[in-house]
Amino acid sequence: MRAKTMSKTTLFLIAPALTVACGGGPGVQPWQYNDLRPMADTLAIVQPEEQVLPLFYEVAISSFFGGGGSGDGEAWNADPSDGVVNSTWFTHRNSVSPLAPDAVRRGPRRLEGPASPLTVTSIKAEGVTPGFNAKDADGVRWIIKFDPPDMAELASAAEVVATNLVWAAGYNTPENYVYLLDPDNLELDDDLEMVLVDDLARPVVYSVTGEGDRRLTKALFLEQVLARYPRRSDGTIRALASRFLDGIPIGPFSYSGVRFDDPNDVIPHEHRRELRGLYSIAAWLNHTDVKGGNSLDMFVRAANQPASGPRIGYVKHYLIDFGSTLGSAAADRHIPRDGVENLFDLNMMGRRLTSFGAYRAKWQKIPTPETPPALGYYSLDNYNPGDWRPNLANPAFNKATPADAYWGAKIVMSFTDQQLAGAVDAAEYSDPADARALLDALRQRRDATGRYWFAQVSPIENVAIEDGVLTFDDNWIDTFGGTGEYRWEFDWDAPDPDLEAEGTVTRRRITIPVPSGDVERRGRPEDDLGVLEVWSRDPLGGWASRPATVWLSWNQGLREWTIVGLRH
Amino acid sequence: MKKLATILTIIAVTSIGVAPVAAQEQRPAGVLPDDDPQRPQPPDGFQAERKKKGGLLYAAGKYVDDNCGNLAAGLGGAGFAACFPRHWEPTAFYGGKPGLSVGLNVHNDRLRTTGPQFGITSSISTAVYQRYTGYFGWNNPVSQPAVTLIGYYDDQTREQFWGLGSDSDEDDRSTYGWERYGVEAKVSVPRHHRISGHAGVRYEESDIHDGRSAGSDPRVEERFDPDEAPGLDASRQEYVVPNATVVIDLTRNPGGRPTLGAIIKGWWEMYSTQNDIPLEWTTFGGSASVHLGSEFHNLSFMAGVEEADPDGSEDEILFSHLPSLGGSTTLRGFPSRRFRDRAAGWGTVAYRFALWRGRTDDPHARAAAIETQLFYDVGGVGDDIGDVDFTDEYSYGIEFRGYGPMGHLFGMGLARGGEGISLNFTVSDVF
Repeated sequence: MRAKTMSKTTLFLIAPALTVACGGGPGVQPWQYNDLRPMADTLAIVQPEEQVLPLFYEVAISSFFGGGGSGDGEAWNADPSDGVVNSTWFTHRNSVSPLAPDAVRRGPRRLEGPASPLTVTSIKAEGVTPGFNAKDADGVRWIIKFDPPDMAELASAAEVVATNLVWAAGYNTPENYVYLLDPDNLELDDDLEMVLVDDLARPVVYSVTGEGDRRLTKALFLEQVLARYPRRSDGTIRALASRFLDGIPIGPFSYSGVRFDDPNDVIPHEHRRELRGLYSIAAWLNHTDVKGGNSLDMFVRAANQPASGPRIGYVKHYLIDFGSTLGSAAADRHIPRDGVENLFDLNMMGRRLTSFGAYRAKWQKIPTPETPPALGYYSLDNYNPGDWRPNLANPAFNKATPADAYWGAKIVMSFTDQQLAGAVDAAEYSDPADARALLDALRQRRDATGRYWFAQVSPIENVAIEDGVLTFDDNWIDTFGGTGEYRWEFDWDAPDPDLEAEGTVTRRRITIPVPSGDVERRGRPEDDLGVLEVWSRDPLGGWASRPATVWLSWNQGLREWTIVGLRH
Repeated sequence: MKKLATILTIIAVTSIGVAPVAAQEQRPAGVLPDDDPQRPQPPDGFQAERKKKGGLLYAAGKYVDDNCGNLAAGLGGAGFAACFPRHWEPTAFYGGKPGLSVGLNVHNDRLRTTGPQFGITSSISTAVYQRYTGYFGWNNPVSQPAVTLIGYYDDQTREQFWGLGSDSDEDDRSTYGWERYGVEAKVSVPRHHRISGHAGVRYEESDIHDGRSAGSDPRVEERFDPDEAPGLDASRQEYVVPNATVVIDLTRNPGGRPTLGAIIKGWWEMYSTQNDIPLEWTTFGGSASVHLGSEFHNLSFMAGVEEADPDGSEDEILFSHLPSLGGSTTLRGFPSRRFRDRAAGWGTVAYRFALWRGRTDDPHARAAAIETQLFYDVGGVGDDIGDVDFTDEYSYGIEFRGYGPMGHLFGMGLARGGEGISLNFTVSDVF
């Protein structure tokens, strides 16, 4: 039985007592946590103003400035167990308390979908997927989006599966449903705007202020908007229904910096573990369109709202729009290039230029295979978990270290085959073969993600002191099997002389040396801690390049060690 | 100067800076101060900057977002026009030479690319040329079949002339100025159709003048006799010029960056002077290009000929209007119009590789791209097509080209010919 396990400070706050931390950046070290103050990013604030993150700006920043952000080093908000605390960004779900497969199938959804009849309220002109906004019979507001006309089920299926998995991973997402739209059971708002489709480089949907004969009639709507989508045998059109989020939208968040008018937002986003670690999850799902523009901050009003004056509440951060995930690129299918090269990749351009075109990325040698239209291209082929790239360079991903990606990979690996099957089931594929193929690809890419990132660190977990012996789990062995071997080094500068030891073990037990006499306390906490570094064997037989570091505190009275924290 | 410095300072500050944060409103009950110790705190010494996003790049991005709807449609060609509904539009529509090129277009604000259009453009360079254009028409000619009426003023202030024929001497360089202005009416079909082109007629006044001298180079009349520079003694002319162009685009991506297929082009112009001296001639030509390869790597072969034949009683064609080689599209290692005669022939083989290409499922679909090409040009001039030796001159070099989804946007490169190295820039149609 394990006693004195590392305290789980999942409800505590980063202490302000940090100077420059070791490790090349201002990452908060385990001893710098302070359990006296709550993690309070839901403390009341005045409603921030709506923030705009123009796509053109994001593309320019991504293409020419690597996505922005400043500073390097480890994540700033990792807790003592090298995880994160629950916050307005992230809530521990599957990786801590495994969900039932049916819960994964249900995801964040609280309803069964829109209640008929739908009333179209406006035409969706943003993004590349055509659609419209609507209100259902119960007054619930929805965004309705369509699959590419010749690829029925592609985007709607991918979006539902990815949404539910990202939600189960711990992020805030919308409720997305596969929806069978009955055109006969559709109404139009009186003030709806006219839509023109202009075929230039590609179809562009324009809105023109509705007036007089330009008011959009239902006949025109059916002809201009819905006619291009195939009807099912029952006359319905398959679509995706995305429920409006709770709260007041105040624009997307940026993956770098902090929101200037949210005093609860103190960790630059590119240094948040949840956003850096999202890299592994996005790579697994081939979420190529993960960017600031596909996020949304919602202002949640406080219950004790003043009768007058400005609104008070807090900001909750959502990831939205998962249309470019799995085999779908929203308006068409993914191709081998997606996830391998940024949309505008100066590095790749440089390679092509200096080699006079001889350099060819691996994807350039892979013709896009024929794939079922509903499934698109989502495959283990061409997938490199360590070099996956979204369309736009993402500052949080650029700053991610192996510890961040390992954190994300642990979440990826937390999904069982049954849970994945539950997520795929929500896509409601008409051909069971498509569902099976997607499930296979999800499993293969999940395992590839885990194998890669678990090998980039020494993946020891659940460190504890038991009868004076340090014990731990090994995520690689526990997941993929095999026998472990561990090299360790211990260094403690507080006693005089220093206490040093090292060794190699095959069992997951390390006996930490104890001082023979009194230990004189020094000023800084880190100077009083013993440091244990543990290297595991990597899959190729060598020692892992990064050790796991365990900080230990010596209790002179009880003459025993306690765990302060862990870093990978 | 001081004013300019002030303006530049403001631009610099606003482009790298951020908008100031407004003073915090009075705090309502139940809201702790931002710096209250109960609030989460960043690590000491690492206070994130609380700055509202701003700057020129941000403002430009917001404009595009607000007006383009879809960035992909907003890049290049007609999409560029679609980005600026009911607004004045900066444009390089008629630019074609180095120098500052600015202008304005206005399109119908409801139907965007169809209906009445008008605009003005200007292209000026400090020493080489200036051009001003005003147009009015029906439909945007970049994206739609259109009828356009154009008025223009064009002054090439430092043209060069080396004499006629392939054996003209590099040391015989002389300079002149060439001013033209007129009006043109034409109907056109844009390049993204399989068969495109235009037919029109223009009235033009043309005048050879002194221009700007380039260093110690003599003026053309100081170097050449009228026999050697035909029309030098009849330099001011008025013409009526019916003209037409037809392009048959058999590539997989007509109008775009050609990756696979062929393009055939023909053109014709008939000059009839309105002066006492009855100068009349017809210029016609054709070119063909074949493109082989994939979305990133291509081998292109191009060849073309052009000839000018006198039609009237005077067996003379103005030296300024003769077919020529050299410049940014033929024999790129030589200066613009380096070789002239009544006929010219040229060819090019180019290895083209894309540095970047917009993503498409179909590798041959139209897409924006940036490519590099390594090329080898040949060409020659003669009294008629039969006299042209295509291998008289050669040049080779490298060129970078940018394409929008609707076709070529710009090219710039370095080329070496028999007389040295040339730096080229073009926004013309290059295929």
